[in-house]
Amino acid sequence: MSHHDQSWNRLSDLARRAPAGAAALEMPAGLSTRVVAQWLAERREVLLVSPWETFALRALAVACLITVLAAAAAWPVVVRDPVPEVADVADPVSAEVLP
Amino acid sequence: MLDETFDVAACLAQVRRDDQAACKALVEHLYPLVIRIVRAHLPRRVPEEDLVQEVFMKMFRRLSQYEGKVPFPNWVSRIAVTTCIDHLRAQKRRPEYRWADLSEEEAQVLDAVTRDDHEPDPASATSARELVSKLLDTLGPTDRTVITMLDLEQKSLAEISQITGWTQTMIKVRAFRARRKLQQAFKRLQEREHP
Repeated sequence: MSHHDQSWNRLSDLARRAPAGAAALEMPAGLSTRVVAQWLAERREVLLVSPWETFALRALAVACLITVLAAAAAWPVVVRDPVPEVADVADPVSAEVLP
Repeated sequence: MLDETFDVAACLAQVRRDDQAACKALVEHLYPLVIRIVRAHLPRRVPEEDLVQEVFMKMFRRLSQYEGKVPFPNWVSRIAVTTCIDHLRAQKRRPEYRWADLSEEEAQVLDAVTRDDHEPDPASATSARELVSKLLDTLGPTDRTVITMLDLEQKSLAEISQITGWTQTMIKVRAFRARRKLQQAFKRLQEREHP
C-alpha cells in the first residue's frame, strides 16, 4: 500500500467519524405535501391528455381502413378502363398535328 | 433507519390508486434513506431539497415499472444514486484545489494524515469530512460514487452492485482507477504545500 493510499485511508476513517449534523434526518416542513401535490398535478395532466390520444389513434386507424376499402372498391374500374398511353387520333388537336 | 413496521406493499397499492395520504406516507417513510444518499453524493451548488424532490418525482413517475423483484427501498436507492450521478455529470468543470484553498483546520488535517508519526485529532472529523469532499470534487461522477460507497459508506461490492446496477468487476476496476486519480489529487495538494 502506497503512502498516499495510507493517507487516504486515515483521512476517510477520520471523516466517517464526523457528526451528521443537527438537522440530520428531519424532513423539511411541507416537503412531502409539495412532492405529492406536484405528482398528483402531473397525473391529472396525463389523465386529461390520454382520452384525446386514444381518440386520435382510433380515428387514424379508421381513416386508414376507409382508404384501403376505397382503393379496393375502385380497383376493377382502374383495371377495366386504363388511361390511354397514346394520344387519341380522334382528338381534334392530335388530328391536326398528325399526318 | 427505516421504519420496519411500515407496510410498503399495502402503501404502494394505495399509491397506485392515487391516494394522497398514502403518497405522503411513502415520501415520509423513505425520506431518511433518500436524504442519506443525496447528502453522501451531493453535487456542488445543487440544493439537497431540490435533489430529494427530484428523486421522489422520478420514483412516482416510474412506479408502474416497479415489478417487486428487488426490495422497494433498494429500487428507490438506485433512483437516488443515478439522479445524483446525472447532476454530477451535468457539472462539466471539476475544481483543482490548492493548498491555499484549504481552511486552516483542513490544512492541519491534511498534515496529520500524511505524517506517519502523527495521529489525527478525532475532534477534527468535520474538517476531515470537508477535505474529503474537496478531494472527491476532483473526481468524475462514477469514480466519486464508487469511492464514496466503498470508502466512506463502507458498502460491500455486492451492495454497490445492487444499488448501481454495475457488475462487481466493473466496480473493482472503477475503484482502482479512482484511487489512482485520488493519489494524484493528494500529490498535487502536497506539492502546493511544499513548492
